[in-house]
Amino acid sequence: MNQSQFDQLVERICSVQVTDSETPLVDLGVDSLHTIALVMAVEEEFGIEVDPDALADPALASPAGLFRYVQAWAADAAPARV
Amino acid sequence: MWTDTRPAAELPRLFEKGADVISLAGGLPDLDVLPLGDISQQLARLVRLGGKLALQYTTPHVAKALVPAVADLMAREDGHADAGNLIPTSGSQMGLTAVALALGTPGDTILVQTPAYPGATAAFRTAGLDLHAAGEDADGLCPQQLRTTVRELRAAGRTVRLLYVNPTFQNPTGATLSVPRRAEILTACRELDLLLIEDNPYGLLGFDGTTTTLFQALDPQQVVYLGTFSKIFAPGLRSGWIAAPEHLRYDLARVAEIISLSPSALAQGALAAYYSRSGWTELIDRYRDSYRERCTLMADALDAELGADSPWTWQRPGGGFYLWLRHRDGADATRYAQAAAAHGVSFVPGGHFSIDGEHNDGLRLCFSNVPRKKITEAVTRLAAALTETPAVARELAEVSG
Ligand SMILES: Cc1ncc(COP(=O)(O)O)c(C=O)c1O
Repeated sequence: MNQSQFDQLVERICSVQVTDSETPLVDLGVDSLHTIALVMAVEEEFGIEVDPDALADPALASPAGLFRYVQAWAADAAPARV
Repeated sequence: MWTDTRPAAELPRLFEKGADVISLAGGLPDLDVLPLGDISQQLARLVRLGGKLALQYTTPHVAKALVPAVADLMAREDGHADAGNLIPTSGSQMGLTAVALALGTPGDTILVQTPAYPGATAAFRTAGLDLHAAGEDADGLCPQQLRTTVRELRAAGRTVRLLYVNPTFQNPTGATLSVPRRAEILTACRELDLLLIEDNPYGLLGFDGTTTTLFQALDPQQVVYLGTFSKIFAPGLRSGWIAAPEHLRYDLARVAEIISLSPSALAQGALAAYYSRSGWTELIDRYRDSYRERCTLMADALDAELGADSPWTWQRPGGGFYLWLRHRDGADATRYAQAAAAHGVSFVPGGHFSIDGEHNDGLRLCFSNVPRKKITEAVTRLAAALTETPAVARELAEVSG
């Protein structure tokens, strides 16, 4: 999955339009409960577990930030899976 | 206590089940169709990731995350929902109370389509409203009689501003008002300056997927719509909504806040997450299949057991939870309830759905939650009770004979 596909996931789950992946979710009109619903969908889609404390990190609060987190998680987890 | 109306006091009994009694009484959904594994995983995720939000108080709004889920449901019956016209409730029962308190004044008369869901009449009475039956003809609630009734009541000095309708797969009759009839009723409501309260828990439960255009779709300005997740998801989440014209939103939201302070963010979050993952179609189809199957079993058994020359008549409903039997000669169904209990089956006598002692010749059978294997047996027991001379009649016969 690339960023633009990830943005589509955000658009589908949050019923918003992602014009720029770096725009904070709040500014896209996604409120906090909706962000939780999005992260739930992301966890399920990628088979990952997001650290709830990390959710408070502003760096995570945009489609791009969330996607970077997902990729980092996949990179970390990859060796363990081999 | 003045709020202690009869139906409310008796409601809990509907859900009790004796050892060998097959209950056709309480209107419970068939939760066997729920994907509990998925829901349990989602609830766990929701609490782990968002527990501090989901378990906190929240503002009296339908959460943004849930608005698309509500809009999707209403669009299936051509209705319209957006963040601007929604108020959250803990189910339509709260919606009924909120509407009565916000839009009525104690002493006002509310017109009610009867036979009526007792929870509605109890809510209206508790809000201090007087109830008056809206007239019917062969096609259901009658706009011409509505005009006459309202004019008579107003001439007698009554204030009449509200009309309560449960238009699709009605509790308890299973009947649905046609779209042309809905349009005529709305024309009368506009003429008479009546707000129509549309209570619609069963509209999406048509056995073959058929839906009927909402009153709210035909005239959103004249209608306060009550929606609920109870019958298309699960009643245990206690979650629903009111869709109201803009100018009533504030009053309704204020009363909703007085009643419950805050909707459940946990329930709203769980519903939003379920919807964004799975949508509604599959679950609704599963409910429809379950109820179609149960209704067919019950109606076939009634055909076989009671037959064409029985004094009890009924129509096969096209959806919902209920089958409504009526006695041709007007015998009081309450008299058969005891015989039914003795035969090991229960139902709700029609008088329970009256506002002024009418509908005693009816009885409601609920098929939605009876185990499939027990339906035929339940109807056999029922038929035995209904064809027996009722105890009271027998006593009368003895006295006079
Ligand atoms: C016609 C009608 N309205 C409202 C309700 C209340 O539903 P809830 O409060 O669970 O949404 C019911 C429940 O059976 C009903 O039959």
